[in-house]
Amino acid sequence: MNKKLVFFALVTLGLLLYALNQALYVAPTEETMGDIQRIFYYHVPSAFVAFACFFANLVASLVYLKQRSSAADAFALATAEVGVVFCTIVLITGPLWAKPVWGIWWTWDARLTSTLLLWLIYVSYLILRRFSSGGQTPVLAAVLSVFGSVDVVFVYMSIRWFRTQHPQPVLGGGEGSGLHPAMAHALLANVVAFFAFGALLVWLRYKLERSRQQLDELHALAAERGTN
Amino acid sequence: MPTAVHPTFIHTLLSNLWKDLCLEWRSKDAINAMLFFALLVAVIFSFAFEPTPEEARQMVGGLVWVAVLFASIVALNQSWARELRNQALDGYRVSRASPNALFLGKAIGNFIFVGALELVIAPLFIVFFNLRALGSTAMLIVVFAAGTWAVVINGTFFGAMSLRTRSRELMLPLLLFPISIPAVLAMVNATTAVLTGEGGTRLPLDFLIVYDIVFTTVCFLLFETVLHAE
Amino acid sequence: MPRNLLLAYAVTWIIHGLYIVVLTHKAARLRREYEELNKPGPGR
Repeated sequence: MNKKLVFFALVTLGLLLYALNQALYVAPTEETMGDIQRIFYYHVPSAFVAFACFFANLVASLVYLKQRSSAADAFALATAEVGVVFCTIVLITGPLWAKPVWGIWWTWDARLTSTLLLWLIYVSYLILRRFSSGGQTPVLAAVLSVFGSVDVVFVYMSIRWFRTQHPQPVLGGGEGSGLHPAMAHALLANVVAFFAFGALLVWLRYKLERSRQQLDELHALAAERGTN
Repeated sequence: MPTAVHPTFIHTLLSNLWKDLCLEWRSKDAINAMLFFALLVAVIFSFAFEPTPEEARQMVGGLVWVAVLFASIVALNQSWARELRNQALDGYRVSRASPNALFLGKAIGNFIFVGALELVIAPLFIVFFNLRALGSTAMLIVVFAAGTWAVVINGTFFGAMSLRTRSRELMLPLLLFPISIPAVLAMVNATTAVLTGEGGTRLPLDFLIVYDIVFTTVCFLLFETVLHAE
Repeated sequence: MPRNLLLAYAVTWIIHGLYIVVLTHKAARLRREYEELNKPGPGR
């Protein structure tokens, strides 16, 4: 187990370094925005990883509700935490990019608001996990995850339909359409690298949580047997 | 031979609802706190903003719902706290009564309380801001009903979830607000549309109704799980 | 290199770094607790 982990960690490090080089040096400078556009190579992959983590959390939560497996619960916790880490990065790098390019730190468009909401919901998920008492934590957390996921759909739609006052800049406009091949390559490299890194973090957190679960069980057994 | 009494859904629901209404009527805890809070919000907002009648019509939609949201947290927090006394909640878990009947009874009770609150503060806002709805009042009532249900159904559910967590009173709004945001957007949008007479009410109202249906269903599906969570 | 670009990349790695530090602390604490449990109890 440990050898695999170390190997994977090294591969991930290699990918990250390669991707960093691509992002900062190899990819050509964007014409209109200049070098600041390179934030895109970190911002977009982080968003993908965050959303993937939250989706994985939903799946794990549903599995938990069905089967009550503590492995599913550990996985849910891991993906929630790592998702929040990546989502925080998205919410910070976004405005850092937006301000010099579009002159605004923030706008309440569908995408940004949904991301912020997702962050809020999962932060409250983590707080719920911390504040609830042992036995019920996994169930309550899983239920909240379901609510949160249903909600995000509504959030996205509600902003699209009810927030027409605000300007809706297409942030990251150049992503899909007509991206220069070298830029696409840099983006792909960073997506792969960050997915590997995210998976590594989730793996580590998952194992940690499983150990914690085992330890709690041992504590409980020891308490049952009484002292000695 | 005595036969076991099977409490029917309606029976459980109504007896829960009646119990909550009676308890609240006697103590008036929640009602007083809610009224005071809503009044406070209305007065403070009136001092903070000095809108012209047209501006008022644009703003008040949002203001009213802010006041209602904060005030209803008070009612929602109280609503489950009652069940903790005398281990009433544990009684529910072992009884054969349908848990959803308990839940729906509570939700309807909360709906009545918050609805009563709205009936009281609406005239306040009308007076303070010299309001006159340009759209149909009947539509306004429908919007308020749908919006209130959206807040109350999720609020009652999260109230149950927060029951045995630390900082229970903070946990409820923490969980409730992010989840309610799309509904709040729709409510405010619809209310403003009715007050100003411009913009459609169709879209936000339909949205709100879909939200209500979806989340009521989700709550019903998951309440029993939450009730039995250790 | 524009300042915000540097900031963005730095913030990314600082946050990841902080999380890894937190995980390391949790792991260390867990290990200590395991050792506590396996230690022979007080008395003979």
